[in-house]
Amino acid sequence: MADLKPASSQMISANDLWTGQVVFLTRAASWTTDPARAALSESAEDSEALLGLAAQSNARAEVELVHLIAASLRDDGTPWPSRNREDIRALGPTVRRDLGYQAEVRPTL
Amino acid sequence: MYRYDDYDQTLVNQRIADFRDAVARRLSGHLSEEEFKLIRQMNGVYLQLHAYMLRVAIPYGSLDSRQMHKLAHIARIYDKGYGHFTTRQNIQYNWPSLREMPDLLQELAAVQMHAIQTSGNLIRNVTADQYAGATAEEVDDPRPYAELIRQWSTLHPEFSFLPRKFKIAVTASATDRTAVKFHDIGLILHDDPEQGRGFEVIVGGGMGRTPFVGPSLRDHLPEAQILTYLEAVLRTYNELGRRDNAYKARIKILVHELGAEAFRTLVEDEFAKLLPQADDLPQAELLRIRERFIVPELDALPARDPGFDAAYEKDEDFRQWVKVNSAPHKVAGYIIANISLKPYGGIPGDISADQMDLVADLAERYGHDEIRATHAQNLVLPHVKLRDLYDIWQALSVAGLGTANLDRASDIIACPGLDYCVLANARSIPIAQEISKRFAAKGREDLVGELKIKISGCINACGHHHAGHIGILGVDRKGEEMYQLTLGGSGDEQASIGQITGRGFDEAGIVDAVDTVVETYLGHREDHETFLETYRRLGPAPFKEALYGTA
Repeated sequence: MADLKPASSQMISANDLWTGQVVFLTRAASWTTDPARAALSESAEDSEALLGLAAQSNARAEVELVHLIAASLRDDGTPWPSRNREDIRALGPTVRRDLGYQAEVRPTL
Repeated sequence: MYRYDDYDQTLVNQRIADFRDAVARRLSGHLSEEEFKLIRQMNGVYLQLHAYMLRVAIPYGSLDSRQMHKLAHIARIYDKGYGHFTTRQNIQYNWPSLREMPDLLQELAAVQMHAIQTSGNLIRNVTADQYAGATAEEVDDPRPYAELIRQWSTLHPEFSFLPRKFKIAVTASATDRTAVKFHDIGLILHDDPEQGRGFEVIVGGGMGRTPFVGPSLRDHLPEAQILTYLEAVLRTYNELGRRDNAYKARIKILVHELGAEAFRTLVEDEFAKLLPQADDLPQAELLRIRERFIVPELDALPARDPGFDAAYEKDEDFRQWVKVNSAPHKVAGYIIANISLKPYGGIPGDISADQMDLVADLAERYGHDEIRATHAQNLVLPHVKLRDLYDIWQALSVAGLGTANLDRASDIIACPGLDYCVLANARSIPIAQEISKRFAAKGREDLVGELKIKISGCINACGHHHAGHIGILGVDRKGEEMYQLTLGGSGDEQASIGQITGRGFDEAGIVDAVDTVVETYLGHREDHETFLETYRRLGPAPFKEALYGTA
């Protein structure tokens, strides 16, 4: 997002065009539903490059609503969205823990 | 129920064919995201936080068992087993895929349903009193007028790209259950002894960022001139409404900035120009629409029923539900039954596919095949026999639909909030759940009586917080969810806008704050005053003092 400071860490998110599912861009320029596997950008240049990859994917009609989100490294060294809204978006509704990405990962947690 | 004619059905089918084509072109990359966005929105398809959301229109909140069964089927096949009734008598699905959307819409069309007028800057789905055709209060059934406006406004070429969305409500009762004064246009049907049948026309009400109780532009508009007058209002708004700022684009801002008198003059000038050549509502057209409404043939029954009386006497829970959730019917031996979609601690407005099927079955078996959705996110069986009510309630109770809390503290209106909505700043549903649990645990809803709590997760006010006796607005304060409290709002015939009490509260604090407000009310109320009556008598001072202290 434009209001993010260049120094803050970021990742790129979007929605899968066909299903609407929340996805995150990886280093391999693929999309994952797991934010922990997303590419974490530490610089404006890197974010720019990742956005370029995401834009190509958007042009190929794979995803909608490409946007940068604030992210940071968790204690286990994996990245995760740092804002409440994006955390909810990544996991699913807080009032329905049986739905969304959180429902898929819960059994293994 | 209104039945489609060939024209209605053809229109809906063509619309789906167009949308199917557009989806195929988007999926194959021939349409860009921007090009497609407008098309999907015109077909009720939004992209929310987690997935696509489809909003299905339920014109004036009326549906039959076949349609409700279809909604259940769609919840099972295309969604995750549930749907969500909204504050505009519509239903939303939270998880359908874009790929399957055309098939979903085709299934809806098979039962004369669609998603037209549920998105975009146009005249939205017209809402009406959920007790229409059943309450003795009304002048006449308002739904044929609502249907007339629906037909007139559907895909209206001049009014498909208004400065902003446009909402119309119609009621015909002294008691307003439609929040008529908070609409872009609110119509109140009446019979004047001298001037005959007509409408009071309210224009420029609304909630959102800048709430207004709409001023009355006309005390009496003859019914035959209704479409011409609507055209005059819409044309004036379409020309002068602001398109430079989305926050100032609703008609309420125009009416407010010009002043109601100046706006009325503009509308009357336009109306006078239109009237000589107007194709006024021909009575034949209204008659045609009336004929396509299946009016249930109600039986001649005694006013009392021994079976009902016995059940009412012996079963305390049933008695309580009847007292709280039913309303008198205009025909002897019948009653209006409200089905709460607000189980204690539940998600307001959510309903499972199985529950939808049950409601459909009950409507078909006992309710002359009629169901209504309310703007308060509940359902109604408008025509049930007193003698069947105990069976109905037992079936509802088993399915978790028998909560006796209509218009009580736990009957909370809440928007989807940050759990689902891309616009939200804070979550609404968990706050509603906690307040509901708190009241249920204390077992004092009955003591408190009528109390309307309404929660919005952002300033767009889909949760109607401005009109809540107690209103809650979720805001984002540096990444933290905070909640502002308003008191004294009302969405009924004596509409008012709630006033902010002071600084906001965090998630736990807002539940305590509501508790404090209710305790204050209980401490100050006289005789049988409702919360709103006490608040209006005392003003905000004692409540503020209880919340924030005297300092």
